[in-house]
Amino acid sequence: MLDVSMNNLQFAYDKELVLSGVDYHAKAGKFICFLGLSGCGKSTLLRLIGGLEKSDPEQLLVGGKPVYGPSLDRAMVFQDYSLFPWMTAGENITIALKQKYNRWSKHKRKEVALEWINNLGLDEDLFDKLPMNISGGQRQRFAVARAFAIDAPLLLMDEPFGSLDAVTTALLQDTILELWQKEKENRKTIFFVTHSVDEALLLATDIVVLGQAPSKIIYVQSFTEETKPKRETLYTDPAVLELRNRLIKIINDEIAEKAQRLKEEKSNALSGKSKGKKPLFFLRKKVN
Amino acid sequence: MEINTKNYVSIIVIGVCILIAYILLTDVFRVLSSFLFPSIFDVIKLTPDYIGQLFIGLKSSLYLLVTAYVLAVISAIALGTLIGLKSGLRKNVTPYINAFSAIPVPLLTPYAINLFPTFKAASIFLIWLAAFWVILGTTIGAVMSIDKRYLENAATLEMPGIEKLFKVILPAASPAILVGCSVALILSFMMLAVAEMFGATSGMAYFVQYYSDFARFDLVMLGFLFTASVLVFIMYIFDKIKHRILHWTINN
Repeated sequence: MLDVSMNNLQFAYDKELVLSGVDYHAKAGKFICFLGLSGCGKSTLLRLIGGLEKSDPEQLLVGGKPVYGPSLDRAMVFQDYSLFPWMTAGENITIALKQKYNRWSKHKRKEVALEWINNLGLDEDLFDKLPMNISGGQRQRFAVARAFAIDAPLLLMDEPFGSLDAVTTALLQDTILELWQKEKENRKTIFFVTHSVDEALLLATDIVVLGQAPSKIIYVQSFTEETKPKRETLYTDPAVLELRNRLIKIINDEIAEKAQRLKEEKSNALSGKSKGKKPLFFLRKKVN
Repeated sequence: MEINTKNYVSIIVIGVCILIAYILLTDVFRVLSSFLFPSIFDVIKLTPDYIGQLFIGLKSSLYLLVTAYVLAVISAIALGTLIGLKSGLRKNVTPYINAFSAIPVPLLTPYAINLFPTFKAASIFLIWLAAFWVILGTTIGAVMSIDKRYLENAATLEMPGIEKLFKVILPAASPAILVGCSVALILSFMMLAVAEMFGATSGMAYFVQYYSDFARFDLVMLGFLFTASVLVFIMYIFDKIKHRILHWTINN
């Protein structure tokens, strides 16, 4: 179990500010969904927690310690590329187990991998198949199995079901929730990036909405075990529907604001008023 | 077995077409000079008498080729991986790699003879050099262009250096590296011919060169056919190895 503290967390790619002061404390054992527009910095935030991007040691603490790089304590599941294509699906799990439990025998690693394959509802015959020879949904199940198999206290998932069909996505969402809820005491802290309001409502104990880049947190919604929406009540419970509409409105307002800002920037660029900068180009009347 | 035959039917048909075209141009219509382009039937008749000599030459050539090529593969992949991974080192050595690799290897023959104590060592050096630059260049490019996400995936698993090298970096770079190895193998074969032209007493290229000096173009043709057959066989073996390594690629 690990908690995560973000204290005025800022991050820039080269000179482009992506996060402009994110303040948030995620309690251990929570399921946090980052929601927001494309390019708002959700994935960047996840990468910072995962140690794939460097952050100021004082601005981001995982389990009370600064993040200096990736760690087996923070398992990651990406949208694609979670599995190495040159290894079999099973080897992708056993290699992770080898890193985490280097004293385990090959036999023990395979045994545990097979156990997780079963937990994820996969056929054991898929163990020896190459990732290219199994479906996208099965690949993501293997990626999730790997993340759970190494028993990392923190799980980071970057739109893991983004490229899957609706039915497979729904099945995987239920599996993830079931696996997470099954651990009563040492429940993992999960950070899950999505742009789907419904997915966030279904999975999260805490929904964190990020504004447009350079982004900050613009809305947080927490649930208790009792108030947390369920698949059966997602489209019928009036309170959930109202919250759903509120979240969609927040995101739509962001889209409208972004569109307005882009329009103004374009107009300023044409008239040369953009923050004292010279216009990018001039329109000249052609003189014959 | 039936599947194999089906796979090779087209190849055999093309070979037969080339053979028929040659027979038409030489024996039937006599378009080509019979001195330089002898009848294929005359060449075949010579085979039993010279096959022993050709195999002795093959043994000698393979010794040079395999030694030089294996050394080139090991050294170029090791160095290329290091340079590909270290951007600082790459920046400093790239101008020198470009400069030295631009020198045609056959021009270095006098230097090789001067620097190395034996003909064999000089020959191995020249063949090694021809293969080395190609494999080095492709390895550097391949390692540089590995998808960052694979490396990040490895980083999240805290893979130690050696494990990351053999389980992630080299497999990810292997498609491009193997293209370089394939080109380098053909270049090595070409360089073998150059290397056997000085000081050699046997070898496939030596056989061709020797009988060319005596204007025995029927034997030169036999030498060509034998060398081509060996190259085809070696490339076949190489392709089998390549397919095994790249079994995970979609296009394979």
